[in-house]
Amino acid sequence: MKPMTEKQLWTIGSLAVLSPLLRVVPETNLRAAGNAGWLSGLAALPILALYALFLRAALRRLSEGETLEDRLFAPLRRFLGLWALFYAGFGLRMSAERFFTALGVFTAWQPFALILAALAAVAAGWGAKPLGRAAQIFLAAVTAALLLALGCALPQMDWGRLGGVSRYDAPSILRGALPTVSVGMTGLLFLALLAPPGGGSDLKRGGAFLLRLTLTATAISMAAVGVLGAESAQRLSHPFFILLRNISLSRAIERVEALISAVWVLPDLTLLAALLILARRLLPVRQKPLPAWMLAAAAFGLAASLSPTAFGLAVWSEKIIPIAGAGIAMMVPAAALLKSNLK
Amino acid sequence: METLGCDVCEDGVSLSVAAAEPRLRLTQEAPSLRLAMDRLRDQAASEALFFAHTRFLLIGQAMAEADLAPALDLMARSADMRLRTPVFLLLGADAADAIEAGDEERDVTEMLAALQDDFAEQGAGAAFSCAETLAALAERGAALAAACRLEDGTLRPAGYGILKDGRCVGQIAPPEAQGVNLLCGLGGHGDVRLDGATVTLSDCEAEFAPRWSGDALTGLDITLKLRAALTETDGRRDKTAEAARADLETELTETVQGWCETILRQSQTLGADFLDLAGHIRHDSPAKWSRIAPEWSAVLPDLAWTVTVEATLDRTLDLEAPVPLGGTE
Repeated sequence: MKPMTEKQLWTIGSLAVLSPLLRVVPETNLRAAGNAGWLSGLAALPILALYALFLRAALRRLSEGETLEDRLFAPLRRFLGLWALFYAGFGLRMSAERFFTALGVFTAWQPFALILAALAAVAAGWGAKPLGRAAQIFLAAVTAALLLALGCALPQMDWGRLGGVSRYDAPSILRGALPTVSVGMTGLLFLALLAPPGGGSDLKRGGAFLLRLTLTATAISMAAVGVLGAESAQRLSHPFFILLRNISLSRAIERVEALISAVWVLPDLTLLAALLILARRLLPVRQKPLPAWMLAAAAFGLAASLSPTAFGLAVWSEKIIPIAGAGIAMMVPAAALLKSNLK
Repeated sequence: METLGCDVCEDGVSLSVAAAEPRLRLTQEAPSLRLAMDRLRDQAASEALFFAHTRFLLIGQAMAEADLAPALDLMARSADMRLRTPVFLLLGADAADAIEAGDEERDVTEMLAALQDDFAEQGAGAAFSCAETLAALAERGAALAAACRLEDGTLRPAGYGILKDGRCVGQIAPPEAQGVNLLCGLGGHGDVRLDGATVTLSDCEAEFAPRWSGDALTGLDITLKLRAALTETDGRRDKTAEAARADLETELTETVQGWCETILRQSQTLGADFLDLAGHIRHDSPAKWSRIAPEWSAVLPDLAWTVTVEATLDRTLDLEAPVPLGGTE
């Protein structure tokens, strides 16, 4: 099978990263910086650019035909495989939680997660290239849904809330940027691991990926501040999905939030499938990759083992996962560079 | 359902609903609004009640004075509801009374829609959405809500209800309510009756300039620049003559200044920053604001302010001088 193209790789990244991004934005940045938190997305850009350059330095030290995973010590490879699997389980659970909260449905999360895991297993079984092709279509649909939601928020915006930012807000804006930075770093790391030999280091595509990520975070935060205000938005579970309820096109098209919430499952599916592909590579048994369905079942098991309540999941989402994600994202290129130097 | 009416009752709350097609009026008491919705669904067993297209939220005076939190919380938390739904306070009556008012031709939803349009055009108020109300209450603990009264079976504008800490603590009645629109830059400035003439406000620019002594806020200077058109005279004198026009401008200035002073005093007396003076100060001096922000609630009641109105009468709308109804002789 042909390896996926660079374009497909970054498309998978641009789509998959939206799933964890909407888990933290806009709640965490607005909680940290109030109305000024809409600038946190932009503040994340230079930090992520620095990390991308660090990761690129590790990728450029690889030999011809070598991938980042080849350069890592075996225990670290296995650890990353388990991290990808855990991230898949966590993403699966959070996706179900968000979907039901957005629609106000009080039902068990397991059937939804089971279907999503099964679809992801099928996609992962097909491989990275078909996933890349599908991601190109999915990304267009999700971008259209995002633009519709943001466009409908425009008439309700109180633009005054976006002003009045001073240099004294800078520390809290930066603090608010950290969850977005963690999401971006984790995304870049997974893309570097998913990349075929010689891939993942395209500056132009990488820059576009980071710009899209941070501008999306900024636009969503602006809409939340403008329509809801930071004080009330940070108290809502999923402010972006609450904004979806307000979509109205001349009163002809209304109450389409279920449709758009459903579209948002596409980034979840892409993320899950990409993580299962990675886990297959990083967790081989006797030199052979495990079946995708087995890893999907393991991810489902991990999802089930997480906190049974939304309150417990919030601690994972806002504290544990961002810190762990950023830490692992720093460790991997450092380890690769270390091994390069040892060589 | 198109309009939801919320009241308090002995059992807790009372939810009234109105739909036009098919015409439906239902009221249900329950310990909570959510339970009331469930019981309403039981009541209307023959046809499922659908709340997803609710257009207006109407709160009766008793509930407004007791606590708005249950109604706003329901709007934010329920997936059926939309936060852009406008909120109206019904002064002097229960929402259930308004839900029952009207007839086949013009029901409560039609009346609220007409009020909303009137507010937008005539400046007698403004209908704020649940999102705007929640945001204002969360940010500064105070907000305004469009108020109306039920008179002869019809809803009439009653200015604004002042919300503080989630309940209605006062009212700004017309015509002072027009001053709120001018101070807050809300659309629709409306007509002002002066001595022997009526003018229509066409444009208003409000400027807020805080005065500082070091990092201490010493005052707030508010300037309103008004433009108005002469739209009606009693015909006895030529109001377009320069001297008469100057008199009208002075009278307009004094009238609007009086409104603004009344509103600002009310804000200070209640300790409710419903005009978002804090937001204006923050915009003007973000760094200094960050230092006084924690003490703002203590600063507001004693804040020294000035209001300066600069009114210009710049149009007569076709009729330059009154038509001499008694003839020119």
